[in-house]
Amino acid sequence: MKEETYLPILLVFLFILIVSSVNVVQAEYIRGLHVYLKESPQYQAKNIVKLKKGDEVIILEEKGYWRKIRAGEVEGWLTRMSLVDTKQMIKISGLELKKTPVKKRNLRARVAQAAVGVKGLRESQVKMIEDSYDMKALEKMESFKVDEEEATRFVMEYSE
Amino acid sequence: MRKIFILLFGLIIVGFTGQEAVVAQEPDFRLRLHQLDNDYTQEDIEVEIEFGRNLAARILSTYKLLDNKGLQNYITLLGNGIATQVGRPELQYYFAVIDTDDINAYACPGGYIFFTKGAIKVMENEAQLAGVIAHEIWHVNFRHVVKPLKIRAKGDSLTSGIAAAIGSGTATARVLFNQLTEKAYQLLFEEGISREAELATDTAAVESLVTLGYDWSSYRDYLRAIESKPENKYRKVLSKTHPSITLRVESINNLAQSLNISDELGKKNANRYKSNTGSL
Repeated sequence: MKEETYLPILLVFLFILIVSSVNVVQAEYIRGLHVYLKESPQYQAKNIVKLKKGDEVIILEEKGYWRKIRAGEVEGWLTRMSLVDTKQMIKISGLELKKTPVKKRNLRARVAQAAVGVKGLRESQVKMIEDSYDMKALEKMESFKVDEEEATRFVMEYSE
Repeated sequence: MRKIFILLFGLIIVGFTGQEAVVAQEPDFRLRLHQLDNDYTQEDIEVEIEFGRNLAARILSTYKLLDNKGLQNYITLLGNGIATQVGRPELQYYFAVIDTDDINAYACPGGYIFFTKGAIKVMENEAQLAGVIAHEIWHVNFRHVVKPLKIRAKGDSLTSGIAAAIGSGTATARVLFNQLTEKAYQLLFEEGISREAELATDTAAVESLVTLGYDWSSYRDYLRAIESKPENKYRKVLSKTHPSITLRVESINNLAQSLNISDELGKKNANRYKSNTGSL
């Protein structure tokens, strides 16, 4: 092989080596509302700064269940539980889904109707299928809501 | 000149091989605890929530909601506070106490979580309740019902293409949806979640407790306390696939040692717990 051929081949391999050695840093995001960056990887360590839910951070180091991260200009430690790798922070609520198509709200009735159509079930059996879902109680359960900030303070700011 | 090129070429190959050797490591699943499945689309999540709602409605047709406003308010605050810190950000979680002396808790897809009156009565402090709440939240986070039942928006089979069942004009598909709900009900109440899944959820629950500042050992003590109780419905689902409480406790102790948290003292909030559950 001529020497002129070596150079481009070498350059290609050099390029591949450089690219593969560059660490692709994966961004992580702060999961909760009350997340504090700590000076060291210990629960009792001093808090440096409070981070915001959804803040993007870079992981610098791992130590057990602790992560050293950089958030903007600040570096510090937090638990890996405080991080999530998705930026999706807008909640999808069952109540919101309920508001959309009428066809979904009538699902139980349609399932019962379909059962009659497909299997020729008697009226009493159709009623049994409908009765096996308590949608009223479900809606009551979905009415048990609280403000996210209030709930987080309830958990994180009380201790005895 | 040719020798120099061969030498350079050799060095590059060695460097390249070394790079790959460093990268090829077995990932420790525990170190990836916080990473969620990005494989699931918005549509998948909507289908999961719709399915979870139906499963919750199915449970509520068997067990009534406990009529205790104070306790319900307490559970809602505690549950949502914990979910905000360790739950999936895209889900709205709901928590309720059901009126039965059985000792158990159930997590439906989409974030619908139930605790029994019997379980609340056995607990001694808020850290124990927080542990059980975190455990159920992580069943949802890990999709322990969604995955075995393949609850996705699109799929290659009629049962896995559940979105087709929700909005479909096909009678068969809608009946299958009902059957799938029954299957999930059986999974929760009779078969139980797999051994690996249950142990992974305990791991996540213990880490969650430490992150939230709670006493992790209280959760372990709760498991010990319910082990021998006849109302403990967890024992009913004990099978080849389901871990015994003894195994779960041992696993938690080993975890505490490996994470170096054996001496971590956290809050128990026993007084607040008693003042909110005393009416039971």
